[in-house]
Amino acid sequence: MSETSKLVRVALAGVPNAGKTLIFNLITGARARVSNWPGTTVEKRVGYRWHRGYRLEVVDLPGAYSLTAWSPEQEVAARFLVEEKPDVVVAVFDATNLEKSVYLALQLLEAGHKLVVALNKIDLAEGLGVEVDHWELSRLLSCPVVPMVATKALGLRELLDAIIDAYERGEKPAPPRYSGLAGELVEKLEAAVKSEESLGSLSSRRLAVGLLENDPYSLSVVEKTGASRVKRELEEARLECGGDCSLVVSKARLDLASSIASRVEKRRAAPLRRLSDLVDAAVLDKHLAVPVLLTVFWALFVFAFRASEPLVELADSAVASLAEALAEALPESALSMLIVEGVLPGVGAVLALLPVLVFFFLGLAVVDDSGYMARVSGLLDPIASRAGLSGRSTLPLAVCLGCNVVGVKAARVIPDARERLAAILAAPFVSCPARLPVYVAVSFAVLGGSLAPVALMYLLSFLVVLGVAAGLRRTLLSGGLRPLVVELPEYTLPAIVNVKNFVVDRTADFLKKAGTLIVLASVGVWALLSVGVPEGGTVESSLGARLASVLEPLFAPLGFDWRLVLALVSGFLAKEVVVAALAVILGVGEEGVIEGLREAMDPAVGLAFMTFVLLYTPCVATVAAIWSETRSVKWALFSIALSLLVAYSVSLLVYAVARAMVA
Amino acid sequence: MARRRLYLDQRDVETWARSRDIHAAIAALALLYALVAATSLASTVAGLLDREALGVYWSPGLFDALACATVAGLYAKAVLKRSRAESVGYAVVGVALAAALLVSYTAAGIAGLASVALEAASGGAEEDGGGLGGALLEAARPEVVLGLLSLATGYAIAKRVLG
Repeated sequence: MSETSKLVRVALAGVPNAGKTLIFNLITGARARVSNWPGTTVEKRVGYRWHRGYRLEVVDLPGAYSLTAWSPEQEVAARFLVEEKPDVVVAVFDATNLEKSVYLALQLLEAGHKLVVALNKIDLAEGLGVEVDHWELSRLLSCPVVPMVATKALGLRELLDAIIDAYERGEKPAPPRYSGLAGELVEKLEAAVKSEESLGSLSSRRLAVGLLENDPYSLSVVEKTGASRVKRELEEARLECGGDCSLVVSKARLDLASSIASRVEKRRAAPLRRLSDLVDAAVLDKHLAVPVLLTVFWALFVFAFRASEPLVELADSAVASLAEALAEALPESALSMLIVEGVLPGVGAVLALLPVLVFFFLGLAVVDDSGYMARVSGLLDPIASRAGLSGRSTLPLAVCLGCNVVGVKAARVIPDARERLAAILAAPFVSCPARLPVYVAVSFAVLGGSLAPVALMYLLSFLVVLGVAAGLRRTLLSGGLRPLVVELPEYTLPAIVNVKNFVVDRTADFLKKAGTLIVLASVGVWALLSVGVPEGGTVESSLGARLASVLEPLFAPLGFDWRLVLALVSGFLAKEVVVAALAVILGVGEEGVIEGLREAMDPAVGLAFMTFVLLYTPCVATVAAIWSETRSVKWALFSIALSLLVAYSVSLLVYAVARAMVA
Repeated sequence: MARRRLYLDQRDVETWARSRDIHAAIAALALLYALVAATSLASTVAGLLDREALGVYWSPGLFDALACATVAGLYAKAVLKRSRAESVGYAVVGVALAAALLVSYTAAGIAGLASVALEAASGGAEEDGGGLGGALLEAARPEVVLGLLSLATGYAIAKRVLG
């Protein structure tokens, strides 16, 4: 057998939060982000593994309750399964949510896929007093069923064997038969589809069902090929259903799924109470939900700041000592000046604040992996809906707390196009960790090292996100809202491996930026400050100072001088660059960037500066992500203009209030 | 590492409901947390009235007051709830939040001790007059003491309810 003939293409499909990505990581050894809440995977991912002489190409598809392409991430799954025709589809079942999993599996069987069921979370189901008869499930679905506990890697080998067995057997399971009107309509339309040669390459059953359910993809296929008999049969079917057949078909499928689920589930007489349900009663309490949320994040900030304090001091003094030693050791040359005055202060200032970020990531990973973050979207739903955003939008906005770029991409889970665009445009106003070093430096420099201004920045961020979304939804992007339906995962003790991966991956990303973008930006700023300085002249006569001075009058109402303006301009690349640029511009050397900032700003300017950094364009990568997600340069430019306008207005307000308070 | 999942059966919930001593301990904690919240709030208001510099507005902590009031509220609801199951939920969340705050403030204490060690290593601790005692005092903030009490109560709950 040749190498190419040994390739088996496997797709992982399943309802959101069934554990697909965890199984994907187990099979392929990848480290894709695993989250304890739905919507983590919005794009398909590919990984490989050898098993029994076959090379498995495994594709992790976004979670979907249905193969009807109603939202972009469901469309990714549906389109892949129809167009790419994988050799084997693994349907990942959530054993605690069997009915919804069976519903999706019935759709996969309709599409004619060779199916293997990975019955995940059987430990959870048993804890709830539910035993699933996997032999009976296998008989009813006509496909192999492998019980699994993916968190413990139990059942992995059996799953791999079942995939290969299904591939080698080569036979496809029989599609499900629905009773009553739905069954009759599907059979008639399927016959019409089979008679059209132009539709020959597609699964006739899947296409027939898709057409009856008004699936946009199926309708577009028939529209393109102009299959007249199919169109006629569809019109007749619609007349029989009274206009819309989608409810008839989905109800028939749901009835079958319920019947299968009830036949294979065996419940104990006295079920156990899930602690998660009891905890949710308190966490989602109408009076205490928001205070609990604020307290969780406050504890997170206190932890990140206080735990990192000695390490920040240590790193700061180590960087200063290194700069001093290098200044003495290196012979006087342009290169040594570049290293000592350009690279080292810039990179050093950012690295000195790295401990805060590491502890922040650690706290965020624990909160995320515990299952609490999924509740955040639910409890923010009533507030977000007033701003014209459904709870579905709060999921990607919460993701933005980790990274704006990822959050913008995660907005694909929002089915409504106008609401999705509003969420994408509001996403850059969420405070990502890249802003944190600026808050920390300013707080330590001019606000007594207090945490409250940092926490206030996050509150302000929340208010601006709501304000911007409300403005957009009432003007340019008006439209209705869909109710939030989200599966709440069970609370769990965070898994050490997930927490470790989260912290290591985020820290590695940050260090990669420090080694590339921040070095380049530091060198760039240093070069701007070195060019044009006459013999014995000061940095004020440099090219950088002169360029920034052009913008200085614009920022004078905020109290920013040319040095702060230049740092903000360099921050367009990435927010991590702002602190590095400040260190180079202020030329602080031994004293560290915090001492330099004390000379450059007072508390009111400090607060205005933090606010501006929070709200103006987060980074080039986010703008690129907005461009790619909206497929429009216009919206990407609109996002930049909007963020600058909002940043300027709010910073001006903050500055005026702060000035009045200290006056 | 495998995740640990938690379940209660109905008998455990009944046991919890009969544990009057735990209810009494939680009621006492609710009062203590409410007291700390009130003190923090009063200090913040005093800071606001001082108006010496912008920095004082953040000290000693509006958010500290909010955090303690939240824990107090959770404990109060745990005692007052008629539904036994909901009562357990409120107590568990109260203990979990108190523990999170304890970890955060202990991190502050550990950071304080580490700073002292760093200063001692550089020979500056004596001049500052803070030293180890000051760091220990920092570690023994009221929130930390309350957090320890919460953990003790949490242990009692776990022992009685979760078996």
